[in-house]
Amino acid sequence: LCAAAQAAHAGHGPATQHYPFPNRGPEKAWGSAVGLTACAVSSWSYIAVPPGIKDPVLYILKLYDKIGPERLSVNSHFMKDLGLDSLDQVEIIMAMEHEFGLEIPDVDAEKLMCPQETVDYIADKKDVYE
Amino acid sequence: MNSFQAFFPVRYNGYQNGYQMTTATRQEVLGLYRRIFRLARKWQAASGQMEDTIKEKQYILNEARTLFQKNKNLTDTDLIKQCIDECTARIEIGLHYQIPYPRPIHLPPMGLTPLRGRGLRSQEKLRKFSKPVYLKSHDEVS
Repeated sequence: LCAAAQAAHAGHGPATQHYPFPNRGPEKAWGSAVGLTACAVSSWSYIAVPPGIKDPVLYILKLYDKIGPERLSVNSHFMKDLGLDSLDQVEIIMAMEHEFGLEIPDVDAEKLMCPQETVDYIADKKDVYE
Repeated sequence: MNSFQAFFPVRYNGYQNGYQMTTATRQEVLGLYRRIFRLARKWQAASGQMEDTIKEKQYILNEARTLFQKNKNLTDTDLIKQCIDECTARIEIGLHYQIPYPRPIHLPPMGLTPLRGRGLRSQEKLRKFSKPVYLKSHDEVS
């Protein structure tokens, strides 16, 4: 499912997706970075986000400053493994929404508790449109 | 369009016991948090300047994060309801005026008439109650 979605996804835009990002390194606080990426300010410089679905999801989570990158894996639970709370989970899902241009309703968003579930959900949703 | 900061008590993580928030309140709170983020995405400053838009978006997001984090462990239902009211009020006021900053009120020093006593403490007590709900988390700047 993921491979098919990735193949279909890659056919849509340039080989790498670019998102607006201010002229600071991605190692700065993700909060402010994603806040600005969520704003999609077009006059800022761009960073390259890898194509597909799983890679951007993990990439965005790596940028998040409340998650230590060594603990992050595809199946790590946001609350149990990574020690985030529900507010952080909302932020993460909003960033995913913005990244993929989706609109995830609240009912579904609160059920996405690990990166794998997010990837599956997005792949599902993208299949609907393609 | 506009978004405001809000602050709400939410569960610290999904597995703690002993909180008195109902699930419905939690949904409401997280929904408001999400709503603020969505509004921040589409925010346009009233002046139309790009720098102002960026600054205001940052302000909205930072304020929302700080206040939500600050109040996330509240358990008193009245306080929770007050926070929810403050959030909704700030959102509506911000949308209406297209200004994300809190709307200040004018209250001259020693301007309120206390029922008994004319000292500073009764004045301060009255001032605390006369603050509108949307300024509850902002201290007075004198």
